[in-house]
Amino acid sequence: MSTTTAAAATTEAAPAALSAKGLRVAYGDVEVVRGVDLVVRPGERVGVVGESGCGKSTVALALMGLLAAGGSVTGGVVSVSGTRVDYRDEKALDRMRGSQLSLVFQDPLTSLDPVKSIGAQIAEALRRHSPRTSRAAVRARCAELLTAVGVPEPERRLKQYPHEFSGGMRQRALIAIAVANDPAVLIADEPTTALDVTTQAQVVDLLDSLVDRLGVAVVLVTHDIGLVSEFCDRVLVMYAGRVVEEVPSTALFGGAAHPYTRALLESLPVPGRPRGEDLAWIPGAPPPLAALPPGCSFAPRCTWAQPECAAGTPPRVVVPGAPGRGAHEVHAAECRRALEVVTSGRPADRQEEPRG
Amino acid sequence: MSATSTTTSTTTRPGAAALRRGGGALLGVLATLLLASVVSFVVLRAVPGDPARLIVGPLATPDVLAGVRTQLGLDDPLWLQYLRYVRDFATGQWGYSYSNGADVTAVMAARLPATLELALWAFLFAVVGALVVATVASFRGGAVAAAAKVVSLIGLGTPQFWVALVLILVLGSGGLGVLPGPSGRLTSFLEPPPHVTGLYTVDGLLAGQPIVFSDALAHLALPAISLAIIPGAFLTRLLTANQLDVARAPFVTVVRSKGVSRWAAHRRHVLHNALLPSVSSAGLVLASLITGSVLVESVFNWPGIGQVLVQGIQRQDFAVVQAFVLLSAVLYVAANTVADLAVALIDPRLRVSGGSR
Repeated sequence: MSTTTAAAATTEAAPAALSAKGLRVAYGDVEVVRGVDLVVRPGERVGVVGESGCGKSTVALALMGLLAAGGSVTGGVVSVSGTRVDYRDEKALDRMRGSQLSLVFQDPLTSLDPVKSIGAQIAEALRRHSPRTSRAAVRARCAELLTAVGVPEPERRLKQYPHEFSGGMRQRALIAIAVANDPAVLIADEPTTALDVTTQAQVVDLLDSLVDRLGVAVVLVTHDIGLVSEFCDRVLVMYAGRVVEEVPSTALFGGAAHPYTRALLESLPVPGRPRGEDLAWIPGAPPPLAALPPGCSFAPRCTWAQPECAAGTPPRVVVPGAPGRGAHEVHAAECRRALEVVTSGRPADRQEEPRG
Repeated sequence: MSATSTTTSTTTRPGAAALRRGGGALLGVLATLLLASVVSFVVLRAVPGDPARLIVGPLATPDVLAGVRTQLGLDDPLWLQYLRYVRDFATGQWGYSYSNGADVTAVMAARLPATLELALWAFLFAVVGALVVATVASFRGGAVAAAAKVVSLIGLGTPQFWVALVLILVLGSGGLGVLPGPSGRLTSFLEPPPHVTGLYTVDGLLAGQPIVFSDALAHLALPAISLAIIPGAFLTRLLTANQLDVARAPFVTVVRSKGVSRWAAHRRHVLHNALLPSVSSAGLVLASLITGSVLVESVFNWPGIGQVLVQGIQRQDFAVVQAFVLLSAVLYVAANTVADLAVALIDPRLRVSGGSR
């Protein structure tokens, strides 16, 4: 799988749980996702990271076919379990949503209908895809699901309403809804952002155990690169609507090939850092998507940038992997200096002011 | 909708909480009624004119005039008159009309059903119309929503009596003649149905007289529509705004992510959430329909309390006007309280919770 887009499907034996090739999304005239490739194998944990506004949540919603009004998929091919998704066929989309592809949303406090019981909201997902199930069977399955996501006393909890649940419990209920029909892929969009740190860890553990128990693949969309490196097998780093680096998480720390990934990692707070030393940060802000700079869109903020970076689209450079790494565990970055970035520790001109 | 509707909290004492809330509501009701009674009492006494003079006529001697004043209690201190007025209202003795001596309680009792029936049908038209228009507008959006907005704005600004006249001229006896014009509640050759509720449509159905029912409904149609237009437009705006608001909530996206179609998600979740805050407004709309039908009643010659009120004001008939004002206040407060209780019953967030989050 090098620069061509069709290679992945042929190298995989089983069809990918989810495959998006050259996905493009536009809001009006502004293209916010500019050709994203994302392949998720069954039972795989894939992370998508990036700053706010880089298009990662848009990718999640676009895959579900649930973009806000004004947004539309303008290009690309998406397949779920080998079947191509037609985003104009609402009926087919409704059948796919929840049964093959499901979503866990950012804010558990606003993601549940406040006037319906938790049980009714889980049951809705079940009934939608198996309408002939008996009432008792649905009830039993709801309780089973709540137990599976770690909510105690499921029988009592099913009758309660969202306001009677804590934030962490609501996120568990939402995960129960998402896995109710054994989907192939669960897209989790910032599932822990609104939760406190302890609850975050519990929710991540829960997702982890669901991958092991149910074999569901998880796409974890987050700005938290630390979380992604712990939870995921592979990480996609997004910047200004493109995947700028695709890296196995074992190679993430120490082996990042894109200056942006490296900068994200360096800006993580590390325990034991000397007092008074400023945390590393990335100067500037992501470019407005309506007016992207020519060439590499990260170049204006990049300490590695050379004059030619502003000239043409950066090439996709494949980083030679460690021996024994699987074919799918490609490590590639869209940067003409990717190989230099991997081998060198810090860029020589790191102290200089960024260009721009 | 789920069958699990009985929610009882095991950790809190819902009884105590409900009692506290009910007590607070009762205090509010009493305060409102007190204020309304004071205002109506003071305003009526403040306007110029002497009811005793109206009763005895311009030729009566001062002695007779003074006698009547004493008899009516108009010489007593104001606070005493006020207390007597409150006592009489509470006990259902609303006095006698100064102008024609009729028992006000009896007049009101005889006239209220006509007004109630008109108001209830107008309410039905307003609510159903608003629900349909608002739901379609908020679901379809775009040009449909814009058109609904324009129509509801026009509806809000249209004078009732003008609509009433136009309806009579176009559909009623003056025009197409498909519906009866301003000719009361029933065609003259029909007997009113046996009195049960006083509402001819309901009584007609109860008595098994479909002809009475349909005739009463035909007579109701035009006045009820005239009366329904303004509150209907108001409810349309409210329901549209609420639904558009709810439709943007993240939980709707979650519902869609289960595979629920956009229409089913709208119907089950958006509509349900949007209706809850509208219930209390609907209560006030109903109260305003009952007490605000004066103009329409005049145009359609409708034998309701509105006409009695107009005559009462013209003749400075304290007893009639006071009774009407207080009755209106009671109706408003009752409708408001019932609506609040209904919301508390159907909104799970208000249902239990005695101190929980």
